[in-house]
Amino acid sequence: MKFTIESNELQKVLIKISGVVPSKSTLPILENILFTLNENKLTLVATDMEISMSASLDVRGSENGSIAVPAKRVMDTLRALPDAQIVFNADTGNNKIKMITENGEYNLIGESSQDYPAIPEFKSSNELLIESSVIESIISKTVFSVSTDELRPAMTGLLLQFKEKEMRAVATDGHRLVRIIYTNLPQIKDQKDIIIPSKALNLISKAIESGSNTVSFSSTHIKFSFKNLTLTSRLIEESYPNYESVIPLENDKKLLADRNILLSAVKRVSLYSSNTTHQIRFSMKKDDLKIMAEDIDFGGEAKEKIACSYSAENIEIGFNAIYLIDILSHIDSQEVIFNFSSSVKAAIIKPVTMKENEDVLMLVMPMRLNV
Amino acid sequence: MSSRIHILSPELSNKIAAGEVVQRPASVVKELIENSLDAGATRISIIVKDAGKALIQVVDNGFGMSEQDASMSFRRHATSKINKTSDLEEIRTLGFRGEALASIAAVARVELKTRSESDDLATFLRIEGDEEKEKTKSALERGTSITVRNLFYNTPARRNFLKHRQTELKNITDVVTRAAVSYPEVEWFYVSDDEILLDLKSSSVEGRVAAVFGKVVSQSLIKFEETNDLMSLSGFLARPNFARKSRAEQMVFMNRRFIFSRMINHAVFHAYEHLLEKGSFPFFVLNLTINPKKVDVNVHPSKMEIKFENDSNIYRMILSVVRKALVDNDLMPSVSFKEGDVLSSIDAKLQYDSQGWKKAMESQSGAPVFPIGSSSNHGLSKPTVTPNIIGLDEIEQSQSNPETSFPFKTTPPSGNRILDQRMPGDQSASQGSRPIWQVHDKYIISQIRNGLMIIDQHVAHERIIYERVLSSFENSLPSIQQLLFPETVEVSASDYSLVKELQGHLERLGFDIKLFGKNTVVIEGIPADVRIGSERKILQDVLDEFRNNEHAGISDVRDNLAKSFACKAAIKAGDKLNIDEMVVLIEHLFLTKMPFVCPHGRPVIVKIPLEELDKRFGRT
Ligand SMILES: Nc1ncnc2c1ncn2[C@@H]1O[C@H](COP(=O)(O)OP(=O)(O)OP(=O)(O)O)[C@@H](O)[C@H]1O
Ligand SMILES: [Mg+2]
Repeated sequence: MKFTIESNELQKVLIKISGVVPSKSTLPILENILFTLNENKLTLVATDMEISMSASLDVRGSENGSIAVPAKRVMDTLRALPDAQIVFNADTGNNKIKMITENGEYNLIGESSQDYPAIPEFKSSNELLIESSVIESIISKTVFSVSTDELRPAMTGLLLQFKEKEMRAVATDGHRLVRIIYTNLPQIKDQKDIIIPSKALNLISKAIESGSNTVSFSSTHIKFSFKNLTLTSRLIEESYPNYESVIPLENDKKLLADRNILLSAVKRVSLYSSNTTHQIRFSMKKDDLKIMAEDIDFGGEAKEKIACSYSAENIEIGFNAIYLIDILSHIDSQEVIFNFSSSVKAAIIKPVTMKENEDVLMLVMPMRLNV
Repeated sequence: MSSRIHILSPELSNKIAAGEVVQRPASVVKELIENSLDAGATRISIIVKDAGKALIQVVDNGFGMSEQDASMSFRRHATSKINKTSDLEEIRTLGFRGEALASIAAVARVELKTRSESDDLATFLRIEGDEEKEKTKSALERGTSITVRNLFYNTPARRNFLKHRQTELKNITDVVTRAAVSYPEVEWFYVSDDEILLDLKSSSVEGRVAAVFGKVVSQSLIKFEETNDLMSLSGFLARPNFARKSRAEQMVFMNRRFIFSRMINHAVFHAYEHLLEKGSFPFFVLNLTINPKKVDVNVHPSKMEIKFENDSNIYRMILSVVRKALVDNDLMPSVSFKEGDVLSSIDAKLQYDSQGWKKAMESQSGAPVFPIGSSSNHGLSKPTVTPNIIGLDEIEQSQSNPETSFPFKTTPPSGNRILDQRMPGDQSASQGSRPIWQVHDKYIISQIRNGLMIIDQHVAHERIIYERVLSSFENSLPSIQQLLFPETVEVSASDYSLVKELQGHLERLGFDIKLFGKNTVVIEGIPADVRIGSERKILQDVLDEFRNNEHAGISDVRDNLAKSFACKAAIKAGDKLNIDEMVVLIEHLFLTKMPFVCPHGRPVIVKIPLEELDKRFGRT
């Protein structure tokens, strides 16, 4: 196998897919990226057996072939090279690889392409055409609140629910939750709920290209197809907890505040919170929000007052500052509304202005202040 | 008119008096041993049969008695040890009342054989009641041999009152053991029913302690010694992990006399505060040497209780000396390699070196933590073990850039947010500024001024949580993270009633629990420091651990709950930590009262001094 390519172009593509490569695997072959040349098209494949990515790019090919190339070694080399033309020459008989630049020659040993696992094929039962910007927005607004708790596998992914012309994206770790409802979509075929692992979403958001894309899925797999790149992931086949039933409807205490002012105040005050609990307190009076924190262990406390609009009865409620910061930094409206009911019940946070056909709801469980 | 009051016959009054001195076989052994020691013996043999009921024989090589003294010795109030009333204020011998032999002779059949240096032949006496039944001459090495047979033969009530054979024998063994610990220069030979229980050659104090208590205990002992103008105090303390479930192995000697003092025991227990589980007791040997004028041993017939001139001075001195010994030793084991050791045997070779940390403590606080020996003021009014913030300062700040200061791959910030949830947009904070590594997802290694320290992440976190929980029981209210999806947990019937019983405590700990009947418990909130991922199991785990601890004898409910929770909520060996998490862990560890031991008494930190490494690499 032999081709010529600009080093930075190869690097750009490798960066996108190398995130899949497991750093330590029981299957050492997975620490490679599969290079396949067909005329002037080079296809790169990486997989961890759950998620597979494949990307293709144009090269000047001179000898077709396929070989598994050690991912880390080739990435490190490309990173260290100045922009330069590389001749990539692999002997698929003995798996010896040569990368030749104007001044240098780098020899490495690959593995046979035969040993590299194939990307799973699946029969898609549904297909959607989605704008990249929508995919990006779903991912960025939800993935931060996906759980890392391996004992609750369902919650380690993003739930997508489809119903007629509506799609819901939900993420929660049991302490906070994000739900986005997209309406007025083209009619979707009856489809079971799917749960996409968060790793797949993180990889997508790194690799995404603008334009409109196809997302196809079955009950076991999902595939994102962009122009020169595809990602196939196994789905999490678990049943998602009944989140709708825990979203309170009776939260009648409304607080309206500027998102940026609030976010930076929370950040500042939280510097004074305990670094094990990160607890801060909201104390609300008529049009007056006080944010407070104290660190009993190391001493230190902080409070800030913030202008807001609030007209319900006085209430005090505690939060993990990190959850609030996460939520407030993933909302893109100028102002936010909090809906409270009591200091032990979920608080709902919503952007004041939302895009058309998009309804964003975030929720955070409080930290109880007093028993 | 007849009188109802009359003087008791000497026989009867002797028996009554004897009852005070000789309560059981062990008292006989104690008195005879004391006489031998007072006679300057360097070899003492004790032979008992049927736990002393059939026979007690004590043979010594002391200075013996003349024929006349031998006869006198059995008379009541006959003693060679004190003369005038003022002597009572300055007792330097173990005996002083002149009552022991008379009392023994009143309740047993006694034979005495003794020869003093100046006599050629030994005197043999057979005594029954207060009568000399036989007196002959025979040959014997210098010394005294006393044989006591048929103890309580003439006081059946007392004989019947004796405890089980094993109990009486154990009492005798305790008496002999204490004497052997207090007099290590003396050779001891102790036989019970033809079984040799002790055969001790003359040795140093350490040697004697090792011989009596065994290598394992003695290797874990901290030796200490302090002198001021009131008294001098020396002895051995066991590391907390050698704590016992009974008070049996605490020995206090005052001028080499075994004494029992609640006050002294309390002072020592107090010094161990926070180092020991409730209900377990430290092993210790304490030798007080004090001017005999400052104490009164004549308060109880057993001569085991004493009165100090000034209790509170003694208390303070003992408390601060013991505490100092514990702190000096940091309870922080540092590793010392002996020639030929392999690295893998590190923990087998724990030795204790306190220098580095002690210096650090002194330089931080400006003064030694325990000003002992300053003549005006013994100890501190309230010697606190300073929660030393030194921990992180000792960890050297590295000037070099992050990449070179972390030559090894550090754990990437994983999703496993255990202690510190990284602030979004605040990645820089502590990243890379401290040389800290996690190895095997189990230990944290860090450079300190004088070498390196290794922290066991699980027990370190356990200590932190344990103290957090205890303080939330005491005062502050816990942070409870409410759960979006309440956990419905089915428990066994007995666990259900346990939860019911503990509910109040569990709430103070940070659980928001509702009991739903039918063995169903709903968890609506959990302590804010419970790791993500253990919410589900934590309650059941805590209940299980609680029961285990209960079986192990921890009776204090709060303490048990705090331990159980700490154990289960703490990060485990195998949990990956990122730099921030490690820094937070260490910071909090050094805020605790006792960073060096976990609530169960295991060490949290091991230090390897630089000299040790230097030695190891042949750099010395
Ligand atoms: N093993 C011994 N070797 C030499 N002298 C002894 C020995 N045992 C007893 N005596 C002598 O007999 C005396 C009486 O002993 P006894 O034990 O009855 O009284 P004590 O030791 O003086 O006082 P206490 O009643 O407090 O023990 C002693 O004072 C001592 O002079
Ligand atoms: Mg005596």
